[in-house]
Amino acid sequence: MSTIRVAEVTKSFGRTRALDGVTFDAGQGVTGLLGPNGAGKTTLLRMLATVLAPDGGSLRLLGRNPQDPDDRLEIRRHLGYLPQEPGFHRSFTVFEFIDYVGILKELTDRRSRHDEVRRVIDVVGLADVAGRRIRALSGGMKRRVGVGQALLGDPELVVLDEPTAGLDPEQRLRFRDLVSRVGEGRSVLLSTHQTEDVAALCPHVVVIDRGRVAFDGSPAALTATAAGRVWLEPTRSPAARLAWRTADGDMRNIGDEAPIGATTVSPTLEDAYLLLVGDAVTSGTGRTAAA
Amino acid sequence: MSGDLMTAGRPRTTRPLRVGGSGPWALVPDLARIHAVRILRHPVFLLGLLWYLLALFVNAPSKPYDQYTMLTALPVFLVGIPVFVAVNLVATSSRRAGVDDWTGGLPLPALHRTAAPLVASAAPAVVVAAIDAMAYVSFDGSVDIDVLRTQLACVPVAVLGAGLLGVAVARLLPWPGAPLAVAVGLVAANYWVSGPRPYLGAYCDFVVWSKNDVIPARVPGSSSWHLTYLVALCGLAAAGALLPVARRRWLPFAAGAGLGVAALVAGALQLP
Repeated sequence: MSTIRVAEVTKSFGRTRALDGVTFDAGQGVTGLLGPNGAGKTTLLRMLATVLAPDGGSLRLLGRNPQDPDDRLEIRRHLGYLPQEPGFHRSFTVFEFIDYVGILKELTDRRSRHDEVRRVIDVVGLADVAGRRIRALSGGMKRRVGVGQALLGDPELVVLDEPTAGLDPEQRLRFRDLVSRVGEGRSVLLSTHQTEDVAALCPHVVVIDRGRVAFDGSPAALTATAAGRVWLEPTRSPAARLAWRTADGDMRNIGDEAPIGATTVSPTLEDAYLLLVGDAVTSGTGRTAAA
Repeated sequence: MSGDLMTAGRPRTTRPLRVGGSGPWALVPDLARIHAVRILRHPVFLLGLLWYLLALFVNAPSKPYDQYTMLTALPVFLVGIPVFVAVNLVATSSRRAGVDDWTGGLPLPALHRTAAPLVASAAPAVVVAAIDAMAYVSFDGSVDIDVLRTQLACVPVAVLGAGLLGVAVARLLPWPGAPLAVAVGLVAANYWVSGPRPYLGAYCDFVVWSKNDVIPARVPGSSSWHLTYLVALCGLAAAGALLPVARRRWLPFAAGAGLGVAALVAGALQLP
């Protein structure tokens, strides 16, 4: 059963069309959401977190309609959300802040709430700094506080907007382990720029570009779209849309079609993603869509 | 929303983790406790409290009128204004820190989130009441002017009102500079009304309500009606704070209207 059903969803901010008929389904497990800056990912995630309402189209979350106030409340009771840039009460300690979120999540019994707060603090590896004020934490630790509050109360649907931003490689690997465990028996929507994270974690990936779904399927299927389009040459190929020199000294070229006689190599998910949204990536802009 | 996806997926069985039979109101005391600690630790409140304590015990007034004023009026200014500022800053901190941007998607309704700082506003009032009572005891025997219980009770109620007003301004006027404008406006209006003369017919010094009537040729007013007037203003501020977040807005609106009338009536009856 799909826990997330998005159908022809649109959203505009003034003249800017952030989402333009987005449609996809997602079920249990980890679903990766990829897209360049300004593609509309954060707008979509804010809708899935019931913070923002769509202008048009249909949303179903956990089998309920977030436009209906009673349904929305029930969705919120089973939702964990980490925004892209979460604001914190900086004078709170880690424990106090997560406890504060626990109250807003309607965890009524103080003793069991405190047990739950301690559990998630332990899960995100912040037990040693639970009494430290948030203003004294590093960026990566704050990120983990954000992840911790999202997991509070054992939510059925977890929406994570760039959770690995600011984490060092070791923390990222720990995070993969954590999300992998969270994804067992729950639905996790993971927005990220890290294609390696998607390749490692997600059986399902959705690529958003210019406010539309550019791809919806498995990472293997996305990778397969780049077959025969990645090749090695001693120099940059004129046919390449993107190229970079590898550690072996070869030039890895990515383009619409490998030249005849070129040595093609197995593409990665990143190659396929770059080919799919290459214009936005190479220009570094979000074009017409908002973040 | 519409479309053929309306029938997609039935609601899942919920996990047993949330609100008990008492509903979200059971969470208000917990949230209020967090806000109360933040208010009591707020530097602006602590500064006002320090000022009040210094005035009370370091430079203790010795003349009857000064002692009387110290017990009944000065705390309202020395602590009341800082409480207004501190509570307002606490009540707006989620918005200013960007916490509201994402915690708006959490289930506890805005009504209950607003009720919590209203309840927490009682914390500084309790502190002021305790200190004022201690001061009264320490002045015992040396205050030549009788201090009525209702006059003493007016002090924490006025401080409570300052806190409630801080929450109301946070909810009704959510713009930068609005709290400052309100504070300056209230102080200026008070100064104008309490000018040397002619008092606009709407002001008289607290002290003339004493039994001794130390200022000759004045008829004492009613401190009981003054207390009623302050309580009505407190209720008015609370109703104002809840107005933007109540599901049924007519309730705080009707309560506010009733309390406004009560404040006007009590305000008139308190006068000499």
